[in-house]
This record gives sequence, structure tokens and C-alpha cells, in this order.
Amino acid sequence: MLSFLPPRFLASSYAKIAGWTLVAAVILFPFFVLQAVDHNGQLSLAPMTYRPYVLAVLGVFLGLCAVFFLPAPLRALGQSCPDFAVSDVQKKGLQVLLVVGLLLLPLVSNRAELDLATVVLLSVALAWGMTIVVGYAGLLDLGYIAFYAVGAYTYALLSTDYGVSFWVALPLCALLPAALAFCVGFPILRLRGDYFAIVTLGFAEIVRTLLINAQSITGGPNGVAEIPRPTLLGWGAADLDERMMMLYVLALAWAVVVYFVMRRLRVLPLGRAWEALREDDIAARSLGVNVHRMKLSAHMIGAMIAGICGAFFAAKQGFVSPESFTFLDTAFLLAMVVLGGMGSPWGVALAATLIVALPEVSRSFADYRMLFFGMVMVLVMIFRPRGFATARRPSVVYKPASGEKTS
Amino acid sequence: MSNLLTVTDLSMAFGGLVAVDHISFAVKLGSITAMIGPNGAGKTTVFNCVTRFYTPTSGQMVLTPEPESALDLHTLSPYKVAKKARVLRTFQNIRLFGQMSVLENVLIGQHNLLMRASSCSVAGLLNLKRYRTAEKDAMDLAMGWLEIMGLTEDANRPAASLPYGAQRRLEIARCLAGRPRLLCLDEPAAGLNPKESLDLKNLLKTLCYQHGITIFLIEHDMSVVMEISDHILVLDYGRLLAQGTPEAVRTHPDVIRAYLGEDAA
Amino acid sequence: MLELGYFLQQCLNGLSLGMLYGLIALGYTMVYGIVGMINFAHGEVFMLSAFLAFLAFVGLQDAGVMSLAVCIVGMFLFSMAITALYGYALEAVAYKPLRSAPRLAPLITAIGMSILFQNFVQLTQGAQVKALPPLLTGTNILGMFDHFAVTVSDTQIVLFISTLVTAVVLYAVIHKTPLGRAQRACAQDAKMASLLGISVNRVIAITFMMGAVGAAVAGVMVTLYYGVLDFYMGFLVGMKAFTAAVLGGIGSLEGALLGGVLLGLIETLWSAYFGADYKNVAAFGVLIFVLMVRPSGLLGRPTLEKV
Repeated sequence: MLSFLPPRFLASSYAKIAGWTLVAAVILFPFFVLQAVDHNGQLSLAPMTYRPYVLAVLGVFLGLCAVFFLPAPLRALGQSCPDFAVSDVQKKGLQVLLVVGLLLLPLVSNRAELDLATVVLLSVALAWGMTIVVGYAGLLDLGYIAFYAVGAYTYALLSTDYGVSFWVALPLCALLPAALAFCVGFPILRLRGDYFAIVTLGFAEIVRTLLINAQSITGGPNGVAEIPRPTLLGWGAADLDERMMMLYVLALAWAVVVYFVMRRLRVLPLGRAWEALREDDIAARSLGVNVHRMKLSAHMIGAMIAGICGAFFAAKQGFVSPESFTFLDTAFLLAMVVLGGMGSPWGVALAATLIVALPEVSRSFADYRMLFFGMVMVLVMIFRPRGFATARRPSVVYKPASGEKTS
Repeated sequence: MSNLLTVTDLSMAFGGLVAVDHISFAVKLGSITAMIGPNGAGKTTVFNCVTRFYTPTSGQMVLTPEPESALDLHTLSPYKVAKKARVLRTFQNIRLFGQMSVLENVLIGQHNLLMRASSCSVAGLLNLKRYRTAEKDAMDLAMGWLEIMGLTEDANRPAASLPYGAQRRLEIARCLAGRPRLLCLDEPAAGLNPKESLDLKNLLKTLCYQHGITIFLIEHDMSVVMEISDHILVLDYGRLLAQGTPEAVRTHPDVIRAYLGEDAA
Repeated sequence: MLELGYFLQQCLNGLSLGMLYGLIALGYTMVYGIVGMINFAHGEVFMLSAFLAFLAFVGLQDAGVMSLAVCIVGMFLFSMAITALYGYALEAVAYKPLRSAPRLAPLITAIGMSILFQNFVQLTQGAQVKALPPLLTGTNILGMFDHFAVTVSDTQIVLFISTLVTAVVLYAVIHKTPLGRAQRACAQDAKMASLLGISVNRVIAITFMMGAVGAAVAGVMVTLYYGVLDFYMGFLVGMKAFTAAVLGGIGSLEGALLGGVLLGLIETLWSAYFGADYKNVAAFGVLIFVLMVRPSGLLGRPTLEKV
């Protein structure tokens, strides 16, 4: 087609940049420039404005230049590892510092900040739960939010309809999602990974449809309101400040629990088996690993964590509706897990904090954030397909000098 | 010597293609049995049937691990072949857990034992002494095999970063950690240099005659096969062409014809 | 409710919906056949094509084109051409750089791309629903059953014809042309195909484009048939089309159409007799059931894991 051009040019980066810029210019044109306006049922085109279009094409052009002319720095960016060389002692110190800081936070922050901090902590815990499923076991669960929803609705309905207290409902909020995870996972986890991804996506849609349509039980699109707030041995009932403080402390405690469970599971045979089947499930089977059961366990443990997070969410908001559990929310979670490094708890926590807190800090960012996350997800996977924290720490380390091991 | 594995009338067809055609053989306890034959003769398919990754079209496969009762491999799923029958295998194109460390790879070989010790993770989560002891024993066993394989120094490296020959040895070590009754090796000498090949021969002899592990291997390297095998099976076009001692197979007219052509026989 | 006429009319409507699903399912099935992966962004490609058809129509009206036939042909050509380019770009960004990456990686990039596409359309075209007045308003009575007139609309006739033409063309390309031979070769063994001088990358890119063209036909038809579009429409439709592809047997063109038609019938009849509230539950229930009972689908062949 373009054979009249010299072959040397066609093979060069210039030709590729020119070609791709042209493609971008063509495919972006209709969406940026053509806008339909409706005058009493009569459709016509709005006056054309070219500024955003030209800027977008220019952006693509510059991006292409970066990819083709600066491959080395980009690759270096992709391969260099922000693996902070911290010793175990320093790490312990940092952890203690962080926990103390988080404990002192309520004393120095106002209500809005404390509320945001609670949301962040719950999101981090939820993202950690998903890390077990996606990062450790390599199961792309696109319906993770459904278990969160089931947990939230379980507490909401038990407390409003039957007056069950938070602490009594909590185990059910874990067990019900786990049972659902079993029912969905049992038949599907035998199949290939991408089937699992799409079935879980469908499952989340089913759960949402049920929540919307089963009006008599779930309150339909209006959701459940006036969910009683929990109290901790009488603490948290006095006024709003005390209640928020207690919810914050509960969220913090729950995040710490999830952190320890996930860290501990990783160094146990169960966690090692998850990673093994993620790497090569045929080899894992040949060594006697019950791959199906291991996958199910990851899926169910993830669902339990999501369910309890959901109960905390319902208790904090005092209100739940199907709106909070869309695919978009799963996409957010996935972005946290992927950007955080698919298995590194601190990376995921950092990503979750940024993703939840940034839109609060800058409202103008909120409009573009999904566009931005979509783009970043693609770029991260292209340049670092194993996520950000690529330096994996072995779950056990052999120390030759003493012959002893540490976990 | 008694038979450890008895295969009777095994057939495997993929659609119209018959990859394995009614073959019967036995692997004797405490021996080294080799399976040879041209590419596409159905050797790996036999392995895949024995380890139950494939379900054979017909035939029986029975493991007789005395003094325990006989196991019908046909009724087991792949992971149970490893867990219950303790038939462990390696793969033609090495399958390691690449991102995991060498030591972790070997610990996966002891997965079921450690799972039990951690009471399905409950004892492990609580870090009970019972689990810690079991983990320590597993580590010692793993390091023991890694030492025999000459991989002690590499224990903490990601498995994918090992050189090719070391990866082959790691794959064997990983199986050994699972205390195999029958060790199935799919072309263990493929891609090894002469020195490594020699080491492999000695290793397999040690495993068989000192550790008492029955070995069943597929191999193209005749120097390995002829020197170490007690019994050789020759496959061609899915059929068992001949079997016997290395001496008998070497002089078998059908084998010579299959390997060297019609005229040589 | 249980009258024959009503039932037949619903079947006809289900067939129309099913053909839309089938057209989109063709893209899933072709891409899966060749790269062995689900193109998660395919639903979004369909959404883009519907917007392109809508914009083409408004643009042509504005330019003073009065003839409806010209308008519809213009919508088809414009939407198909640009959507094919989107398919090409999608493959180049989300799949090509990740040929040797872990299996999860291209799935995640494809999800990233679909988020990107959705928000791109939302930001440039606005979040509100776009509505197009019905263009083809004619209906034809097929027959009377107990005073119930079973009708087929002109739009449905166009839909049937365009679906069959698309399916026949795609089938012919895959089974009768050198390109199709290359595609089938890559689907069997990409490495061997590349050793024989087939440019695997190009074949994969073309397959994505062909899938996108199928989605574009569906996009135009949705614009003509329903006339309602929004940036989020690709999500559900894409999932259902995938269900159709799985139902028919992923990897098989005939299966995609068959699965689409079956799913369309199931969904429409469910809505007709049990109400529309749970039609999505019924559709995904079908997906889960098929995967449990017969993962290879109705027309697919069971595959053996390569050990």
C-alpha cells in the first residue's frame, strides 16, 4: 500500500510514529470533534471545536516519540525496582512507627479527615483481600465486589430487620460470602483462568441485579438505610465524635488483622501452593497439590475478608445501596492490586491510599481518574507485567551459616 | 524382584490418532526401567497416562507398593497419583515455579505433608510448635536433597535464574522431596553436556541402589540408557516393539530395523 | 399469554436480539481461536462502533444527505472502517507487547483498555443517553394467529440480511482465502506458522480487525434497531455476547451465531413470560450452567491440556 515510499523509511521509527499518529488522528477525530446536539428531537452537529482533539493527537505523538526514541530510559524505568533496601529491623521500626502514627491520627484530625482515613483503611483491607486472590493465587476475580456487597447487605438486613447486633452478625458476614464463593468457584475453578474471570464478572452482575430487583427484601435501588452503628462494649454510643473514633479504631484493627493473616498465609504451605499454582498449575498437580482445593480456598478466604470489610462499610455508612457495588468498584480494586505490585502488601496499601484519597484531595482529578487509571493499568502491565514490586521475597530463606531458617 | 507398576493393555487415542496402542509392561521394584523410541512413538503419552494427566482409552495401570495394598491408578486424579500413590514425575520441557526460590520449589514437593502439619493452616497461622517442627524437618529434608544435587549454594535464588542443567536437577530434587515410590523422568539428560550427563548417570544409580527409589525414565541418550537400565522398553508408533535387558534390546532385529532402517536388519 | 402468535412474535424478536449477540460473539470467538485469550475490551469496541454509527448518521443528515439508504450505507462504512482501526489499535497496545507475559497480564491490559474506552467516550461525548429516532419505520405482517398479527419490521429484515452477509463473508475469508489459511495455521500452532513465513503478528492484528468489523455491524444495527446508546452499553452486551460464544463453543464461527441466537431467544422469552427483571440473571445462569456441564460449548470440541 505504501510501497512507493523508500523501504528504509518504512522500517524506521519515523514511519511508525507517523503511521500511529495518523491512526490516532483518524480514530480520535469522530469522538472529539463530532458532537450531536438535540433540538427538540432534531439531531444536528454542534459547531466543531478542535482544541481538545489537537491536544490529544499531540499527546499521542509525544507518547509515541517517547516509546520509540527513549526506549532505554523507559525500559530502565520498567526494570529498575523501587525495592527499598530496608533491613528487617528497620522494617519492624517502620511498621511500629506507622501503627503508632495511625493510632495518634484521631487526636490530630477533624471529622472529615478521620472519615476519609476510615474509608482508606477499609479499602486497603479490601484490596489486601483481593491481593490474596489475584496476586497470590493468580485468579482474576472480577466479581470480588459482590462478596463485599453480600457482607454489607448481610449486616444491613440482619440488623434492620431482625435487630441482630453487629458482633453477632459479623461471623455470618464472613460465612455467607465464603459459601457463595464456594458455590461459584467449585464448578468454574476447574476451567481456565479467563473463564473464571468472566464468570465472576457475571456473578457480580447477578448479585447486583438481585439487590436491585428483590425490592421486598433488599429495598431495591433505594438500598437499606438507618443501619444501627456498632458499639464496642458500650464505647461509641455517646456522640458522633466517639462513634467515628470507634469506627476508625475498628477499621484499623481489622486492617492489621488482614495484614497479619495475609503475611502469615504467604509463608505457610497454603500460600506457597497458591504461588506455585499461579506459576504452573500442571507442575503443582504433578507434585500432589490439590490445585482445585487450593484455588477454592484462596477464593473463599478472599470472599471472607471482603464480606467482613462489607459489614464494616455498612456499619460505617449506616446506609447501603446497589450503587456502591458496580463493576467500576471492582476496577478500582483491581487497579490498586495491579499498581501495587500484585502481591506486595505495602505496594497495594500505597496504591489504595492514593486511589481513594486523591479524588478527595483534588476534585478536578475525579472526572479524569478512571481514564487515568485505565491508562496506567495498561502501561504498568506493558512495562512491568509482573507489577511494581517485582522483587519477590522468598517465603523461606536458607541461612547457610547456622543452617537455621527464618520466615 | 516384584513388580511395582503393572501396565496391561494400555491404549490412548486422540480422536483418530492412536498414540499408544495396547501395550503391556511392568516396572520392577528397585530397578531402573527405560523407555526408548523415536520421537512421536508415544513415550510421553505413556507417562501422561500413568500420572493420569490423560485418561487412557483402555487398559489397567496398577501400582503394588508392598507391603501396602495395590492401587489402581485409573481411579486417581493427577494430584492423587502424586499424593497417594507417590508416583512423581518430571517434564520434558522443564516445569519449575520460576519466580519462586529453589528451596520453595522443593518445599512444594512436600506440600501435603506440610499441609497436614499446619492443620490446613490453622496450626500454621497460630505458629504452633508442632508446625514449626514439621517445617524444620521439611527444610532439612529439602536441603539434604539440594546438597546431593549440588544446589545448596543456590537455595535462595529464583528457580528460573538457574542454568539449564541445574534446573533439570532441581526438578528431580523437587520430586525426591515427595518421597517417591516411583520416579518418572521425562528425558532427564536432554540438553545436558557430557559431564552433566555422566553425573546424571551416577546420580540415578545412587538414587536407585542406595536410596531404593524405583526409576522409570524416557531417554534418547543411548549411553545413559544402555549403561544404567535394568530393563528397556522400545516403543514405535505407539506399539511395544521389544523389551528386555539392554543386551537383548541392542541385538533385537526389530529394534535395529526401527532405528537403522529396513536394510540393516 | 400462551398464544401461538405472541410466542412466534417473541421468537422473532429473540432471533433479532440473538443475531446482535452473535455478531459480537464472532469477534470473541475469532480472537479466542487465534490467541487463546478473551478480548475483554470487545464489548467496548462494540460500544465505540455504535457511537460512530450514530455520529455518522448525524453528520450525514447535517451534510444534507436525504436518502435513507445512503445514510445507512454511510453509517455502515464509516463505523466499520473506524472500528476496525480501533480493533487494530487495541491489539497493538494491549496484546502485542504482552505475547510472552504471564497469562493474567493481557487480561488486565484489556480491562484497562475497556475502562479507557468507556471513560474516553464519556468525557468526549457526555454521559447522557443518546437517542436516535427510528429510521426504518415500516413493518410487515407475516401472518395472523388468533387475531394476533406477527410482524417483522424493516429494521429486523436489514438486521437478518446484514448478519447473514457478515457471517458468510467472515466464513468465506477464514475458509477460502490465503489469509484465512494463515489464520487457521496460527490458531493451530503460532510458532510453527511463523517458522513457515507467516507473519503471526499481522494475522493476529487482522483477526482483531475482523472481530471489530463484526462488532461494528452489530453497533450500526443496535443504533438502527433500538436507537439508544450510552458509554456503558458495551459492558453488559459484551458479556452476553461472550456467553453466546461460550454457549456455541468458543473458537467456532457457526457456534457463535448459534449461541447468540439461543441466548437471544432465552432472554426474550424469559422477559416475555417471566418479566424483564431477571433476564440478565437468566443469561448468566446459562453461562455458568454451560461451563459446568459442557465447557467446550455446543459445537466446540473438547481440548486436551498440553502437558
